[in-house]
Amino acid sequence: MSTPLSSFRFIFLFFLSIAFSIFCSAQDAIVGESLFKTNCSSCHYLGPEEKKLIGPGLDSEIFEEHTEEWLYKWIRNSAELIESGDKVANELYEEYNKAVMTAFPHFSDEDISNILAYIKEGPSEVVVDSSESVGVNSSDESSTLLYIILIIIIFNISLLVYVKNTLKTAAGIQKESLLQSSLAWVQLNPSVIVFGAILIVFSGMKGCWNTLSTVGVAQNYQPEQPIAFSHKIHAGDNGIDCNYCHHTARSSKHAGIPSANVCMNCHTYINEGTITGKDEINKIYAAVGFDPNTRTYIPDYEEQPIEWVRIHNLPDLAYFDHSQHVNVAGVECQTCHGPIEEMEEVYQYSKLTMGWCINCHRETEIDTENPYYHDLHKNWIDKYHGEEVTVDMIGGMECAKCHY
Amino acid sequence: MKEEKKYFNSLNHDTDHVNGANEFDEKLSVEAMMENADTLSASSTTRRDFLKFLGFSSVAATLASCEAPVVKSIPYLNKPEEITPGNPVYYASSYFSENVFGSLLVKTREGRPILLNSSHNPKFGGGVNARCQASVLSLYDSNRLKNPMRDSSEYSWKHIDAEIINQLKNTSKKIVLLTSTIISPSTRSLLELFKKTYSNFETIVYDTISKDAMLSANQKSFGSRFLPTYDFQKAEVIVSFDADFLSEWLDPAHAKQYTANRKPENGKMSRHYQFESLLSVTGANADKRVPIKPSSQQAYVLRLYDALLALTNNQSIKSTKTKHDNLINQIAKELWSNKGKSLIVSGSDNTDVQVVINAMNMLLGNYEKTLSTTIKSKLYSSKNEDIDSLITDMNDNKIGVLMFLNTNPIYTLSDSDRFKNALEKVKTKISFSESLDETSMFCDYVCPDTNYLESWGDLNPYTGFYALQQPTISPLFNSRQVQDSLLTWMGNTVKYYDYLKTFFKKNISNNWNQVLHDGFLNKISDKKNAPEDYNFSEVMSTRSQATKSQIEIQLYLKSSIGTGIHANNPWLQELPDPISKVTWDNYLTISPSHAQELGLKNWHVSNGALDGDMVKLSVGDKHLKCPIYVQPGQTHGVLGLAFGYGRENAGKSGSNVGVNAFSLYEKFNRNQIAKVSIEKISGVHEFACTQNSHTMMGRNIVKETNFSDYLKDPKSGNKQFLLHSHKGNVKPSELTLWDEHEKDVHFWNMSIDLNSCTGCGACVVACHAENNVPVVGKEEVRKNRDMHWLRIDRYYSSDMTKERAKEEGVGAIEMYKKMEEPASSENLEVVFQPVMCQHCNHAPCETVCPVAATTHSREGLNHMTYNRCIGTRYCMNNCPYKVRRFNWFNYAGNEQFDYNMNDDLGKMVLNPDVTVRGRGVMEKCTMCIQNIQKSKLDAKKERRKIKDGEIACACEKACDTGAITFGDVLDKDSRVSQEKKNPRSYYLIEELNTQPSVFYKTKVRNKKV
Repeated sequence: MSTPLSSFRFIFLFFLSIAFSIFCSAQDAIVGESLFKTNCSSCHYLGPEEKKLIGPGLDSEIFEEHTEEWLYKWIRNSAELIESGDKVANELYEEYNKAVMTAFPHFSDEDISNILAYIKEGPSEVVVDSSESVGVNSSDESSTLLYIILIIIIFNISLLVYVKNTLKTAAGIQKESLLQSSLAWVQLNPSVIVFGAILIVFSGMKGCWNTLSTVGVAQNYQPEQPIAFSHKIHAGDNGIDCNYCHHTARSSKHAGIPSANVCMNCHTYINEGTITGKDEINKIYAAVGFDPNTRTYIPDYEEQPIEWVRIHNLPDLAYFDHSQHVNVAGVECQTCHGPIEEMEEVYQYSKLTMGWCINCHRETEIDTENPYYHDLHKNWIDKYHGEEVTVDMIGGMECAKCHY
Repeated sequence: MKEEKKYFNSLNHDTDHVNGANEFDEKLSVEAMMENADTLSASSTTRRDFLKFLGFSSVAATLASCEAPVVKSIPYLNKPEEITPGNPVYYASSYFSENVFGSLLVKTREGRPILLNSSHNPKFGGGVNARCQASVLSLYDSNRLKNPMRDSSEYSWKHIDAEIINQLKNTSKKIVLLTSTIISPSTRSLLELFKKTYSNFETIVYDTISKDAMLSANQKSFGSRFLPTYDFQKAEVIVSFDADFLSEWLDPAHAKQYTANRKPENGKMSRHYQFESLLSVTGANADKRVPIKPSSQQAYVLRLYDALLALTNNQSIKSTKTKHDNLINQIAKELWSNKGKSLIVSGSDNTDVQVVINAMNMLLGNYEKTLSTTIKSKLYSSKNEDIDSLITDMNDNKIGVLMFLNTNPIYTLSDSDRFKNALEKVKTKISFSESLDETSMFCDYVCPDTNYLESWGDLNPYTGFYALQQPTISPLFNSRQVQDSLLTWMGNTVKYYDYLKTFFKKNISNNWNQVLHDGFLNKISDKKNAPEDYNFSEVMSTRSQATKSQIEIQLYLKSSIGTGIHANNPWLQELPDPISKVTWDNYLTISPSHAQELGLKNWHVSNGALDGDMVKLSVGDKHLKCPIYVQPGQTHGVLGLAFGYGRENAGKSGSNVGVNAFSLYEKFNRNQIAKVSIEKISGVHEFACTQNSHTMMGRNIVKETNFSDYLKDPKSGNKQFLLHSHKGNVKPSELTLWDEHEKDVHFWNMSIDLNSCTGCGACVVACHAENNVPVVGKEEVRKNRDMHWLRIDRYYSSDMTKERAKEEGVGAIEMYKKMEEPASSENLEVVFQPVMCQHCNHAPCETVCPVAATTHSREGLNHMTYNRCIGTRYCMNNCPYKVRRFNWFNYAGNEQFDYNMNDDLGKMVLNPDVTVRGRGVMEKCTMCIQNIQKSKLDAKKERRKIKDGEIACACEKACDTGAITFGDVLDKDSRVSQEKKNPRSYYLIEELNTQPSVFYKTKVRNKKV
């Protein structure tokens, strides 16, 4: 087992070696990566040729099939190359149903060489996994240490007790168990009994209260969904705006679970995920009847609706309107839904109890700039002496604002 | 004490029958359970085991309930662009059923139509009556056919089409389509096309309620068969002979026109005389109402004509004297001084009477002023003889294929047995009925038509006025629009939608999208027929000698059920009749004096419910057993019976309710005069009536004045109530224990103009639809457990007043006794008052709630929080307006209440923004707070102020006559702020100082002084 110092050294060396290896291969591959992602990735995968998107997948094999010179010409303006009667180019043109690749006349030779360098190298490796494994090791170590300390303490206590008992036997004093001695002490101090009883009763009541107040509260409810959709990947890593999929949140009471056609906006072309591969994305295709290989919808397909499990269940008696909060009040999604962009699997972040609602209504100021309030605002300045006007001050806590 | 108690029962209904021992007549069924003593003792379960099971099961149930259920959320796979879950989408469409046209705005949520609003189209089609409002629930009727049928078993369209085409091609006899009036131009052209394919095809129009008399009268007078359109707004004097024009005569849009000229603020008001036999909604609104027998209507009409002729120095037609000659002469003078600004109408089924009416309107120069021959109404067109000749043809084996579209003759024909027998001779019978009704039961093929909310269509209800109908939901079932069926059978592969669009663009308007958006197209030209264009012939045919008889009967239409098409609609069944306030029934109405003469009674049982005697009614050789209902205001010697009941195949809510009055509708005459008799039979009928006190007992509930007094003093009839106090005589609001509520955001108020309310009940249905108000059924209504958040109180005037009692020296007890009696038929006046939660600012209900479940908002509303309510009902008992409704049962989850809320399909009409209340909570009008909140939110989102009129309660939107106005009184310019300043405004029971947010405006009648 290594010492903490050595493990640190190990991590440092590990990172250094990776960074060095990337640095060594070619600096232009990093520039190439960003160029590839902006210009090429919507039609080409970085991978074997069979992984087709619109065009073929690209990897180091292309350098075996084509000369660099040909590649430069093709990338800059493939149509020109086809017209010039180049045999290879025309074959490719026919193979891909006469779909012309977008021309990039503004690419400099350096840009193209950077992109090609990136293609040659293939996708960069993910480093996170190895560092995580190091972390696990260190936590293992610390718990072992704790066990050792615990064993030492227990050993010491039993040693002391043994010594004490031996001394007592030697002195001829009657031995007394721990229980007997503590009972004797309690008998001498009756107030402890009263205090203890009160403590037990009250903690029992508090326990009951706590238990009862969780009835119907589904905080942290995290059901398994039919598709392992990750908000982390979509909203977090890729930074897709919440409103892109949940667009009705601005206009309707429901934020709305996006319909599958919204998924298909992107997933017509993105057929494979980083974690679950094709498994989960194929579930959308199964629902709408899409064939990812031919990129066409299967005619007369019997569509299968996706049955999501609802996480946030307000009772029917409470009326909640997303647009009121998102659009009018400008509340961030995260205020109620928590760090949604970090959730692999969504759970209920807030309690969704009435107390929770009301607290927010007590604290939240209204937007007095909204022309809806203009005339009223003048009255309020006199009435509330210019203090902040919160939702509850204008009737935001009246029953039938939410219950009707 | 016992004497005093009697005051609060209506004396009209005998209280002697109240049986104290009857109070707890429903006992627990303990005995029934103990009767099974053998099985009890034979059981191997001991008492201890039983307790163990009990303990185990309750613990298990408790544990199980801790686990929250897993709720699934299923989004669209491919979301339609226009739908945003949670937001409504509106479509303009049109309604045409029972010869009533309405221009609609359909509110849909997530693709389901949930509420119908009037599109408030300026001139035509305001006819969104109670039945039209409720028709959205008929869309979700579980009784609708799910598949086409052949010989009472389900069948596929493909096979049905093949078989029907075969039948059509191979018949040499006539192919007949029996339909109600078709006002769709494209359908008419489609039928012509059908005739080209099948030359033996013929269309026969059969309207359930016939207007043949008017059509024929115009044929005689003008040489063409048509109905004119009326403009009651322009009429200063209106004389109506038995025409219930505010409700069921020709077009419900008349109510809007009528009330537009009944606003005293304008300094003028029309004067309305009504001669009628029964008490109709129109009669209840009249300034002077004269009860006459149906048989004497003709004499009155002729007498009036004679009086007019006398004024114009024309030759007299020598009419006979009537009981009201003075009144008739006075009316004639008024009419003459309002030439061109008056209107005479009649509901008579006698062509001769209608001819005289035409002659009078012509004499008064009303044509092209208050009624138009330029703009014709196309809502009715049937000829009475047509159906007879059809039956003859059927009997003569001349008909090979008979198709039924929007007709149900086996239910609606008076001699339905004859029709049934004739039908057996027709080889192929095809029905397009949406559900399996009385007629489609006898058909070989039922090809269910789509509901109008699922269909395309064009309508041309008036000359030059076009409307479009568009689907607001995909067909729920495997049904097919009738036009598509016809196209298929012609061998045409075009879809009706394409056909319609092409037709519309070619013949009506090129601007399809705009018309579809607006819902209607007004192409009415300003050019009017000039009087000299008329070829008016004053044919006074041989005057038929009116036979009179001791007892006559008149059949009428209730605004709730109509002709019975919507009989299976529980909202309509539970909608109280505007006059009698009875739900779930039809009955024989009889005048109080007549009932007394015959020894017939209505009485109240101990829980306040109404019971009545049963009679056997005989008209010729027809006999019906029905209950009697004593109806003040009705003419002595006349009986009334409503159409639309007694259906055998309507569905779970509509079947076997009441008796079928169509069996008496002989020769399409609503008045049956000869050989009518009634005979009391044993048996007691239990009514479900929502209002059991008939008069105001001298209280100032509905304030009323006469127009002449109003002109002198706009506050007349609206005397401020003053309390005698240490400060002198003060307004109740000046003596108060409570602090004012803060009102600095909005202060919502509602104004109800009693002068514009006709009592029709459309608002009550709209409230049901908007607020998920449950239907409770006849038994519960009988126990006064009806759930209407909004009710319309109807009060009769009484001949006794406090002043009169003082003059005549009548004692207090005797006076109150007399006050309970509605006035005699001649003098009776009726007032309507819609009452919902008054949203008191010093609310008696709020102070008594032990759990603060009902609280006040700073916007002037009285909030009711269902989830906090524990059901003590203190609030209900402390409410002086009796507007709180207790949810006795879980109406939405209790199979005993098998109405729309307990039906998977019926649940689709529920408004998702309003809680479906559970058992044991109080509920009441919220002023449609969901709409208030929605509009406030919209304004905040769009960063603007709320516009006046933007927020509308369901009742306000449903009110064609604009009696209800809602708005913010903190907004000085709002309509409701102006109304509040109106001298006619008053608070209901102001002396209690509840300071309501709802206020009423005095009723003003324009009586001749």
